[in-house]
Amino acid sequence: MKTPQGIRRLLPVALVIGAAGLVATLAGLYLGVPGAYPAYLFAFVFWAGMGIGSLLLALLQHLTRAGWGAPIQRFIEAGARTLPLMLVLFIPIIFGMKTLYAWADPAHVIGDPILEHKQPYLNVPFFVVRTVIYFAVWIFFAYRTGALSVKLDETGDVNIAGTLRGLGAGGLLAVTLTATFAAFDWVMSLEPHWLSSIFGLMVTMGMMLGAFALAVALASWASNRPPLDAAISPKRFNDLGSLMLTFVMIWAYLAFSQFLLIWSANISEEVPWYLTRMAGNWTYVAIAVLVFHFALPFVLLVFRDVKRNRRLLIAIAVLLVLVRALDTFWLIVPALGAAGIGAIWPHLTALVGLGGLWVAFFVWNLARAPLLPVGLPAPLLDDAASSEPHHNRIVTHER
Amino acid sequence: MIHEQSIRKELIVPPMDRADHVPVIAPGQTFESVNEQIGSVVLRRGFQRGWLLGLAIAFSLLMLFLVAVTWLFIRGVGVWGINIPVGWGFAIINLVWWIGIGHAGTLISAILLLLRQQWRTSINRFAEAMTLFAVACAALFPILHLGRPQFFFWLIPYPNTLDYWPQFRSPLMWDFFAIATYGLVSLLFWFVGLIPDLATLRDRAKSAFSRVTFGILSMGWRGSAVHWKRYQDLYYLLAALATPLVVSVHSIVSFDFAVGIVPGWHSTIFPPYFVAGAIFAGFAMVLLIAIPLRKYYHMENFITDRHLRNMAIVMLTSGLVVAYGYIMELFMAWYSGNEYEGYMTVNRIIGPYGWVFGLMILCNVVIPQLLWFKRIRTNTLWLWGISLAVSFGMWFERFVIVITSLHRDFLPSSWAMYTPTFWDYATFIGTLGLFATLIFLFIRFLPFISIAETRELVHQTGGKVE
Repeated sequence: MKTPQGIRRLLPVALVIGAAGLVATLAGLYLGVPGAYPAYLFAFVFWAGMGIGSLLLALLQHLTRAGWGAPIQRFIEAGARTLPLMLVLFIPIIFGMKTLYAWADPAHVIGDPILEHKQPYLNVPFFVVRTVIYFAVWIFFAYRTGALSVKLDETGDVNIAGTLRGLGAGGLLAVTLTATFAAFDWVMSLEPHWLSSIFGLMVTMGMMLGAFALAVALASWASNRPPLDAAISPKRFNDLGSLMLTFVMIWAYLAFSQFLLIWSANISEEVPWYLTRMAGNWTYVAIAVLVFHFALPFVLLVFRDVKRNRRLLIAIAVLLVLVRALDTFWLIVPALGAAGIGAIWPHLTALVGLGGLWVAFFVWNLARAPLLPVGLPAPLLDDAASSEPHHNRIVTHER
Repeated sequence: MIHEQSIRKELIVPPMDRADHVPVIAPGQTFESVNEQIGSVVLRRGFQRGWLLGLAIAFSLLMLFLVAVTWLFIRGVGVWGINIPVGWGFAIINLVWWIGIGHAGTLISAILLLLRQQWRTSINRFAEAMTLFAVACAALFPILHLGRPQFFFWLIPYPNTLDYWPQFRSPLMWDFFAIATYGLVSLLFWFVGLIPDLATLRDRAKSAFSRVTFGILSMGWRGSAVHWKRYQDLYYLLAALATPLVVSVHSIVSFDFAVGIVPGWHSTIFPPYFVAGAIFAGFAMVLLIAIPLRKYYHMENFITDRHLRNMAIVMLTSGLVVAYGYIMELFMAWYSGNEYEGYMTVNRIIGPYGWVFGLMILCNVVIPQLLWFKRIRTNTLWLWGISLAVSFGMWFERFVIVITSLHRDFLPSSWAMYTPTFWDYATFIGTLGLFATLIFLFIRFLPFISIAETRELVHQTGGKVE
């Protein structure tokens, strides 16, 4: 039931790469390299999103106890427990507030009636306090459910499953709301005049998709060695692939809803957001997001043969993780105009540096619990039971 | 690669809380008992008094609808309370309300099928019928609302000598296609699902008339393996086709509002928030029908407490998404710093129609929170009451969206109040009569629980579920 060697060997490598990347990134921030702060924010939002998305998936799994969740459960639980690291990595952003957020600079705010109106919400102390509150909520649910889930393995205590279910329901509410407002604060307020009420949902869904794709990639990779080889059959790949397709479609639905409504209304308060993101070379990024975030995975994941092919499924999942980074980049960096991109290297060092640390912390967390949850309460599989007569189930009751 | 046996031994399976033990169908069923119990409702001779009374009430409301529509056709839409600026009024509120109700049926029959949720089996048939009837009621309103309803077919892009072509950039067009597709796919899905049951009824019917009627409708079904194979393939295909419709139809209805730039309408959250509201109202309606139905026909062994509990949970969840939508709307109205959006929100809450907003929050946000308590969601009386509140609440929500945004938008000089007339109420209550009449006819003349799927469930579980 141990974590496979291959995954554990990642820890030192990731730690070294992460530390080196972080040092380079912090140096860039300190020296005031153009684009260093937007790059840092982009990397931060992406990796924090992996944690938040994992947490939402884990809570969903505790609430529903669905059959598809077992093989990826430990990965999403470990992902959720990376959030304390992200809280620490939030600190550099506080120093870059004035560079990143126009509303944090009094020179911008005074004389602008709308920004003055937003002052009670968009101001530096409240922004920091809110972020700390968000993280407090997330870390509470991540660690509480994580600990209980391991305890459930050890004791098989029914009451724990009930508690987890309650935490799942309450946690989904609390985390969805806090993640929504985190998306407003961290990303939407980069353009303080712009607003979109679907934005929080869209970004949160993207986070869930990214975390799910990462978990599927890892679980599929580990599926041909113990202990996961017992839990993942070709049909399970099929379920995971279908679910990934569902997430891709929900994300695309939310993104398209926002686009269509803003495009058709074409009013000056809203449409500049898209104009900025489709001007110059950003057009190519926008097209790449459209193709690789929706069109290609959609077409591929429709086919059963693709979903049941382990290598292909891993490839699609990895593609989705990468394209989540691209989408986060496209959401954040154009907001800061020409200064946004600056040099390219800070974006890479930030993404790899924060990512290295994230992966190291993730693997460390992963190795602390058995990779396959053995105390998974199964009765819900009544509901999940297949209408195909001989559907493969991971867990079967024995009474 | 698969070590099912080894894993089985390792997994400790703790028994879950008691509600999980309530089976999907009551134990001790055989194929024959399923055929007999469900089929007898249809094949019985004569009519029960309760059913006749219900149909009589429903039918008299339908006659009210006939009167209201006749008067409308004679005098025009002026008989309604609509005016400038409130050009939409009850007709559009009712359209959105009815079409929303239909969504639960499609979700139950298509999405839960693809998700392999066995509990859908006993409720999918009448939920699908409910969808069809709700769509029929909904589709009437945009047509009645037209100044010249006889030309409604101009919405169809067909070659004509007028050299006339519809405006494809208008959400009204999208609506037409969305509702037409929805109605068509729902009808097909429902009918295909009925075929094996119609054959069962044909074989069991005593009178020649029933035998011939069901014989024609069952399209020569003999129950051969080839038939079943094709039936299964087609049924899954239709389920996959119907699934996007659960989301697309109400998204397009939300575009009717959100594409416009009226304060309170142009909000990007509208599509998912409308879809959640549709599922919310739809499940409320399924429960409103299912609870008395199972009691009257003693179907508690097929529509078990498990079904009611699961539907209550879906209702609670979708209600929370709706509440999320309200929070986003309120926050964004302030955050935008836009005076029109700001005033619209204040006007919604404390303006002349503020009491409707209050009722909406009470019915859609406050009351459904009772469903968190197991004791309440397993009590059929409470559940029925909450479903009723939600049905009202979702109607109020559409009232708030349609009326409060239109009656006071940008220019105070063009503000006006909206007062519905007797004919507005008569038309709305009339469609309730139409809906109820169709439901009463359906439960008497067609099996309202799928016989074939219930038999399959009995087979899979070996007659002893759990």
